[in-house]
Amino acid sequence: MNTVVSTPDLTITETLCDSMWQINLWPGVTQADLPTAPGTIENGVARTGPCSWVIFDGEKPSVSEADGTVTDLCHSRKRFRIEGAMAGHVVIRLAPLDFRERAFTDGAFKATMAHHMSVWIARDGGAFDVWVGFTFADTFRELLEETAAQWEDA
Amino acid sequence: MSASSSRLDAGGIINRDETLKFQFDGKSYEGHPGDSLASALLANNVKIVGRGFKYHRPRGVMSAGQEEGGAILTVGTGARREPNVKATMQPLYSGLESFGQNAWPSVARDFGRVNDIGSRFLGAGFYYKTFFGVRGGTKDWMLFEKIIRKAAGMGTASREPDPAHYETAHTSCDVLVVGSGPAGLAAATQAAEAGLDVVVAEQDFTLGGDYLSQPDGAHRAVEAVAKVESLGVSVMLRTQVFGLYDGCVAGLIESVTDQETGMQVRQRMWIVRPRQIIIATGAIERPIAFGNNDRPGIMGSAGLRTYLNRYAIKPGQEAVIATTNDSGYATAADLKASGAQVTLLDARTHGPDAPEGVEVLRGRVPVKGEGWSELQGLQIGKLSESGEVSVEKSIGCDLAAVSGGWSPVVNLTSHRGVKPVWSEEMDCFLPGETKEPIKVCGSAAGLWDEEECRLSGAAAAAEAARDLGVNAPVIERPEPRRTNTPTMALYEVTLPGKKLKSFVDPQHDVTTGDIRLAHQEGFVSVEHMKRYTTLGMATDQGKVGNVIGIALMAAATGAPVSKTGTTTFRPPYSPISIGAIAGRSVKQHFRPNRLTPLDAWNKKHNAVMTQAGLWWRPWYYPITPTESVDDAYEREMKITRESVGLCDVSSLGKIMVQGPDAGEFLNRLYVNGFGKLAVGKARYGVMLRDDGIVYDDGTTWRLSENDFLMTTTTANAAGVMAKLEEYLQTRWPELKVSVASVSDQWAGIAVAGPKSRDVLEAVTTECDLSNEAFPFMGIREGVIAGKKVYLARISFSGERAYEVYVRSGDAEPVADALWGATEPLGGCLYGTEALGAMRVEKGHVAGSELDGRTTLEDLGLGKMASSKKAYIGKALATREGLHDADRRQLVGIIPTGDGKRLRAGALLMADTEQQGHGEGEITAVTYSVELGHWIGLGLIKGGVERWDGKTAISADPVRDGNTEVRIVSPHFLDPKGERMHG
Repeated sequence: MNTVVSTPDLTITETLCDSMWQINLWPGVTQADLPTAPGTIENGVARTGPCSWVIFDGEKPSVSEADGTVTDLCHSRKRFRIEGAMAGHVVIRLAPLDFRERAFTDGAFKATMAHHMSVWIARDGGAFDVWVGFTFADTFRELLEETAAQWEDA
Repeated sequence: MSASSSRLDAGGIINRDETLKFQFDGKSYEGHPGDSLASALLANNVKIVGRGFKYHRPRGVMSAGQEEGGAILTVGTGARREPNVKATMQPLYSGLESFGQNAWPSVARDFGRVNDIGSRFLGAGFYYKTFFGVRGGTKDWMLFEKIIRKAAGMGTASREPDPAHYETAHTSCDVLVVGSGPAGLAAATQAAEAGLDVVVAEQDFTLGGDYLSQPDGAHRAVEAVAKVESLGVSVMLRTQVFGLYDGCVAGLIESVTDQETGMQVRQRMWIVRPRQIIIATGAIERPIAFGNNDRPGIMGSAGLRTYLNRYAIKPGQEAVIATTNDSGYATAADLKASGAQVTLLDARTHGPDAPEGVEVLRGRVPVKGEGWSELQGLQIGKLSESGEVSVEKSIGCDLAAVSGGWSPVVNLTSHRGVKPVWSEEMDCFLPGETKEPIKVCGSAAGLWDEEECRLSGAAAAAEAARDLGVNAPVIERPEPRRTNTPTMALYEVTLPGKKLKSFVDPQHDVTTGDIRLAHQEGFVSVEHMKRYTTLGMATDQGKVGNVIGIALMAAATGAPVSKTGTTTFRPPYSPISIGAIAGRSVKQHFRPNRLTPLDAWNKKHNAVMTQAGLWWRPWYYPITPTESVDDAYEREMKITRESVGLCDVSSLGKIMVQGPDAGEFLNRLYVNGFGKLAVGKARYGVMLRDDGIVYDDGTTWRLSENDFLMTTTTANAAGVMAKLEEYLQTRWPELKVSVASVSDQWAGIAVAGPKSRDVLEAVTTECDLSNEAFPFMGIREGVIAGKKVYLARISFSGERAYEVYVRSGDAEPVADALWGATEPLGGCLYGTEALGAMRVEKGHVAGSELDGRTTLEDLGLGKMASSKKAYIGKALATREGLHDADRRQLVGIIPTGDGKRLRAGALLMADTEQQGHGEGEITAVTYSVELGHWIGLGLIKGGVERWDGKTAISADPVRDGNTEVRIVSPHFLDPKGERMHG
């Protein structure tokens, strides 16, 4: 884990997703431990699309060939965790989503674009997690640092 | 403040306890927090603050708002210089430096005033009719054009890079209220009381709008603002709503600070997504066009009232106020109360009672301003019932304020395609109806009474709340109505038989004469009038002059104003900086930088990087600081072909294709078969577009029975992924296949050259690397530096080669291990220049040949295509035109002369006919170290067969001229591929 920003009101950390799996189930197949509502993340499992989920931690899940596929995505993303009083101010500078608590509730998970990069964003209590492709992470980190720096200099 | 200050001793919403020093044209002055730059200049009796565009007539402050046409200044110096700042909208700050524009040596004394003497030759469109000289043609015009261009423009932008930071932010709310005057604050209160999430955007640096112009308005504003803030409304100051867009989206620019430090942001663009928009933007006062109505000392009546009450400034002692409506009376009263001598001219014969101490002359109008540089008097005339004016007398004065009526600010609804509607009764354009979730209230809806404005705001908000399904009272909306003393429609004062220089658009020096000239020359539609005269094309965008221009044109054509119409208002409402729109997408962030997992490692090893789309890839690795790219790539090629080289190939697209139907899916995708590919093998595949043209190529590896890893070209990775998803979702949803991009997951390192196996044997465990166990196109797993890797024996260079794939986070230790084994063997690192050069030697096609026009046959790959299965593009690939013998086919090219070089992009022509587009083109070139001369790949009609024994010409008139060449096989080295299979 790398600390990108650390101030009394804002902490941003960067972590390599070294354990990450995608499950695709064939239409009609269900699995009890996977969230069903669109745009949600529960217990580290996010529904990323119809019949598609990403598991952010743990061992490779087991899915029979008759039911679907498991794709190894380890190291494909980095996670930026944004927390603190200014966390909401940061995310509204990233993506054109409604981040108000009533619209982006705890456990919400969305795929969107931030600074022309595909990202996933989720709310975890007062914090936000943003997942970015490994190869975009350096650029993304720089933009977060610049965004946060304006409040340090204010 | 100096003894000659215009500042009143008391009043105003300024902080007199603090003094701010600022400069104008090199002179120092003082003001207070709460001042605008315009008010501070007026307080210091600075009368002349600008010069007109064409005639260089002196200009003073003309208003107190966004409609300002005279006080247009440059603020700041050096890289922070910003031209065309409206002094009326610029908050004063300590150290502010400002400068007049369009004048030499200064706005106070400008030699350019000579243009005013020759003004009859500089009317609208003069440059289309004059300066053509006697020599005929355009020779003289080209000389004059340079002079005219140099004279044109207002203000000079800095040539230095802008050091300021900008950004974009997004927000959502239930209701966006635009404007914080009586209507806006009432709307915000009503909406917030209904439980809605409300944002108020105010372009000014203080909330209150029209409240601030009134003598007792400040405390009413404070009360209204306190109420709004207590309800949790978000307030955005110095934030202009510059445009409304589809889907109920509003664009706003917030001026965050004028004196940013460090990484502070100077301006911020907000994209707001409200569910309802309430427009409470008020109305802008119109002037009347009369002679010399641009003299410093003449301003709008509402503006004067603002300076009196908000800024505690009395800009003159002997004043004349000319009005066509009731609002001039309030200004007269306030001015009289400040101690000035006031005469009020009312064009109407009936109006309100005269304010105490004010002489009212009814049926009188201003005819002509007197004084050379500043106002010294006003000629007034009597307006007859028939509308004729006869000059009566001159009144000595140092201040004149004019009110010709009010124009609701209809720009934002106009952005949504809603045409404003002319109201004869109200003598103004009113906003048209819209079905979008936009409500207009207050003066923006044509209401002039303050209480009615508040009611209107509350009604609009209640309606908005009900539209959102929230319980809210039904409040009756006041409608615009004619009062007992309605506005007189008076746009221009003329004298029979006399010409007056009367300005309609002071920023662009457009006069009433220009409007009539436009009519005379046939430019009678408002769109033509606008462009021919440039009325409304300056930074005020016609806020004060448009209605007058339209009315004059209507009178000239004999059509009513309602038929004459308006031009279309488009965003931005007022000029906005391009920096704010760009936000953080500047310099290195103009677009995202995509870095391979070995980026830092490459740079540590002295790579010179190059951009390939979003990617940064190593271009070459110079071994000395002065090694050129040409020397480097030739060295890297040589070493790789003779020994071994390592290349970062991480940018290739990588897609996992999985499922019981994955093989069948790949069969349908590629022209060749993949369904029976053995586990642990890779195959080169080509995919076509639906129309039969080659789209992309790459190798696909079978990792297990149902798992394939597809590689694509770097450029097409995203495009191929999109196609796979489209095929699975729309064409073959019955196939049990999943696809996932894993381009970011894997770093790839090519190990190429005769000693490539030696390198791998030195560092790899858990993998048998012998030729028997690991033949060409085999896929294996292994371990390098403790990290799991995939090894693919594939070759782009044509040498024995492997590609090592490792998870991104583990890339560096693997690269270290490989380099540790390569360097002792005399190997090297090589970049994209050498990579590209080696593929040319082998005749491998790449992006410059897969150019969206070539077929499999064109590229010599026709034999790859299966005749036994269907695949994307097969049907249309059989079209006759795609098999024409004259099609351009892949060939090799070599110069016939020693030492001659080739250039990519050169056209290939027959010896005998060097014209037109020729027979083909060169697509890629390199110096071949192994062959000792330049070679190229290209496409030429008829291919190698037609050109056997013949020469052609490589024609490049832009660069090297013509070179004689021979057309040969594209496979220059090892055509049988013995090196790769060894």
